[in-house]
Amino acid sequence: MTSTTRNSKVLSNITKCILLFFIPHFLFAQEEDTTHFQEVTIKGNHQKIEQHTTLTKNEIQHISSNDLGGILQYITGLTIKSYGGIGGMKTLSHRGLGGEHSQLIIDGLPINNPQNGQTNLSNIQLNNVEEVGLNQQNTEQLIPVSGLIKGSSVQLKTFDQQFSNSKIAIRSNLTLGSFGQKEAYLGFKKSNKKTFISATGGYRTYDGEYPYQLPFGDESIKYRRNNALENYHFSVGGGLRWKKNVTIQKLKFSAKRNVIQQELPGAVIIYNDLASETLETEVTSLGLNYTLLNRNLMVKAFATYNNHYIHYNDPTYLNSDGFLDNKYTTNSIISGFHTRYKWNNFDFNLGHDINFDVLESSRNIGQPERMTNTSMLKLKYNTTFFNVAASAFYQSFIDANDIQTHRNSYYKLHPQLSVFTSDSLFKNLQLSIWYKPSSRAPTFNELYYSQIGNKDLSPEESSQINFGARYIKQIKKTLFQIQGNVFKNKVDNKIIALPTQNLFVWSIQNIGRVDILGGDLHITSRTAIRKNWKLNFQAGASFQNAIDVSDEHSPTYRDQIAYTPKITGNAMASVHYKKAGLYFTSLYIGERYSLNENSNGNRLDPYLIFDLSASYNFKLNKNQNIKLQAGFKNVGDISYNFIKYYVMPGRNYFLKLSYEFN
Amino acid sequence: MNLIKYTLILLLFATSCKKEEKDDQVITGKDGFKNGLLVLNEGLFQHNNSSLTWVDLENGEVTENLFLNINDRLLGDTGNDMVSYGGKIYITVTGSSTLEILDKKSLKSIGQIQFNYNNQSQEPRKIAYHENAIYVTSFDGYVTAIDTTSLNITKRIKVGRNPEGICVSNQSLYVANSGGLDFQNPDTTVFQIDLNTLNVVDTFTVGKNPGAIIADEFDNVYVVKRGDYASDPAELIRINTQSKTITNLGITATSLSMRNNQLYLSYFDHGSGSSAVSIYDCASQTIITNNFINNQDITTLYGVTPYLEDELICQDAMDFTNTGYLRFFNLTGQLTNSIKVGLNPNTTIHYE
Repeated sequence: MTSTTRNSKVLSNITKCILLFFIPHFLFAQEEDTTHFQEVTIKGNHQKIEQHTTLTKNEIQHISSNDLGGILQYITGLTIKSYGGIGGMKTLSHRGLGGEHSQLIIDGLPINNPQNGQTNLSNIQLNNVEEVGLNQQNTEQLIPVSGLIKGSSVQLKTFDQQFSNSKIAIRSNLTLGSFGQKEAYLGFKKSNKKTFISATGGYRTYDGEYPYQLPFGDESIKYRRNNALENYHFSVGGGLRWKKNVTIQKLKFSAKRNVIQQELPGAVIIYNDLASETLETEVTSLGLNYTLLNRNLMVKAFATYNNHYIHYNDPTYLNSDGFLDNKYTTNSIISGFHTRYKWNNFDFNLGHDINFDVLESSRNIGQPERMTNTSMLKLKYNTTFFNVAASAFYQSFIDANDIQTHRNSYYKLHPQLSVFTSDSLFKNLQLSIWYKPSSRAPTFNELYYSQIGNKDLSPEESSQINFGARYIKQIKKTLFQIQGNVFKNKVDNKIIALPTQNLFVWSIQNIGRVDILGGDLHITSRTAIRKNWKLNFQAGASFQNAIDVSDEHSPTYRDQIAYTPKITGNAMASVHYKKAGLYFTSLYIGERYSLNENSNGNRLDPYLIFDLSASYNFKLNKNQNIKLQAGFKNVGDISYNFIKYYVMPGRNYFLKLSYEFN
Repeated sequence: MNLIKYTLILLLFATSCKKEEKDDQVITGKDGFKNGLLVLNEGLFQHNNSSLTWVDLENGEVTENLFLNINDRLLGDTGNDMVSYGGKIYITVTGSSTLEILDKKSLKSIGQIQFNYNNQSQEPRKIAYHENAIYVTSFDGYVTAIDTTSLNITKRIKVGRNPEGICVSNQSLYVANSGGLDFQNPDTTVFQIDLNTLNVVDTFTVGKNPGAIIADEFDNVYVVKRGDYASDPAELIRINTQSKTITNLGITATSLSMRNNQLYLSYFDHGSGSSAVSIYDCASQTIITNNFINNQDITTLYGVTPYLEDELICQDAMDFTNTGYLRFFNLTGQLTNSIKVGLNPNTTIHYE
């Protein structure tokens, strides 16, 4: 049997298993969480489709991921490129669009990284996160318009920044895990009707020496070297709210610092495990958020400052210094507003974000600066049967760098359109269609990185067309929901790095075009079996055919683009009996290629990972709860990697003790 | 006895099952490999996918992943150079920091030398040979002498920064010190090492970032100074080892090879994406043919290997990220054959 047929057989068997596995899966989301942080209660038709997939606090706890990257894998349609266990870089890709097309928003504040365009999701821990959501198009929330123009946005709400009903709230936990994982977290919040103040802090260390085995010949078990991490973070926050007649106003501030010192193991290099690079990351941020809300008008305004410092060191580099040592500091200020006025059946939205970034470094790349402006004007018409929204976005990128003469500024107008049916049209069924184009600016690295940067790059253009449907039905004790999308996306002027003179000298060019056709399906179900029993299931699967259509004479023409699995799937199930819970999660990543050429040598095997954990709540009294959770990750001890030779940990264990006071 | 037999059969079955995971079948004849081409594919940095491909010249069959299939392990990351000397094949694997030594006929590994020194990867690059010894440059600034019988390291010779090309002329080694890892400040020198004493005896300044180097039979050594990839172009420099004169011949080049005292220069212009091959006659010191192949026939020229008496094999790296080809040309510049071999083919050895 040749390997190709063998592989496809394995794949088809795995696919069958997946299908069998997912069919009986349904979801039961804990009701208490769904509206927990809904700052605006939308009156009337609450079954209107929000193209907004969320994971609640309970789900986040069940998945017990080490970081944001781990949790986002369970949102259908997102693919997380993972370069290792704890501390290993994780970036996201949404429906075949690169990570630069997604915007991360934490407590209403956009987080960006102009240096490389995407946030390392492994740097964001979840101890204080109470909601994670993905927003693709339609949302009633007034998120920053720079997030709305992006292909998608991931929104986090944290304990630190929410008004609370309890006078004193405490969140704390201790975690012990395999490969030297030790974590501690403490959060404190004091609130009354008008104010809150919060303080949180956490510390974690990790040795990261996990075993792995490569699937070649007599390769023995080896251990990941140079993979340790130490991280501390803290934050303070506060808020004020006041009411005058029917107008509520809120003001919140936050200050945060996150410091990570880590070793970088890099890709596993056969016969050579002497890598000894290190990376130090320090992020300091300040934020201010203002909200005004009355019957017809809602206003949100924000301002945030971010200082992002990274220090890379390679003590074995073979130059004349004998080491490589680079430091980069990015300072960013982002400010904006988003306002909505309701008049009869119309909603008028208006928003503007302004963003200023400066990068300073120890390298000879000058001092790049960028001013980004995003404006939005949106009109929405709500009828009995339809909601129609049309918006115009205006994006501008104005770049400057003291070591270069000229770089063209970029201005672009993007129209967006969406039509949603309400459930008055079809009972229990909602349909939607939307169109969304966007541009993403080249990153500072792509523009100026020594030798390879190309200051003439244009922004990368993407567009998405999506048809969606959602069906909700209550069948006896089960609330059943099925949601599906078919999408057609396109990327033009894709920014691609290619080796030029030799394999060590790369250049970055605007040469790529990608066509993406895909669909996803998400099934959820809520069942209460008996008084003390609850069963929660959910499953999602997504398909994306993301092909390179840059050049029809290229050998990769119509090949699936690198690191974009055609098929991904996830499933979560939990059983609750009184104070005990049993949780099960699984993740399937289909075959993908390490380079655009879909050859056998570039092919990476699909994998299916299972996690299993159990918890017990010791409710001390009305206000206090202690929870003990223990679990296995990668129960099957599968040897896998998403990125070629960035091996992931096999079976590992964790034990988590949490204490909450409300 | 029967038990042993069945156990052996079982074992055989088990191993053959395991073999199915490989990409190709092993094709070693009784007399070992002959009448074919052995191609070293560099692979892509940090992908561990350097490989050997065999092209059978009798039936045109191509066998990939030969090293893995024969030796049951990977060759490693970034195979940079391969030479055939005294019945053995030597391969420098830069990323893995190893030197692989294979039996030429069976391609079985008979040794792997780890190029680590002081707990640091040395990153071996290019190989030269002379009188039962091979000489390997490594990026940590050394030339390592290895006895080809005992396969022991006999001496480490300190040279300039990040040495690349190495060649033998008369009783001397010539080593091109690139300094390529000091981006703004590359090295500019070629060192001469006396093969009797293995000491550096002379230094020639040839220009920025010297790389490929080769010797003719007229006491000349030719070296490519790669410049800065911008205003300072990659050009051919001649060192006359007797008169100690250095001449910039003003010919663009990236890699060099020699047949009958004719120097074959390959040049890939990354700016325009054009590939060119020229032939320089070392006896008359003149260009015989300038850019005689059709640029359309090659995507990314990654080196030229003279083949038989009157043919050329151009290694085509296909934008460096797609499976590369061997392109066969006759001396009138016509493309006669193309064979798909592997990712970034950089060296071809002809087996008769």
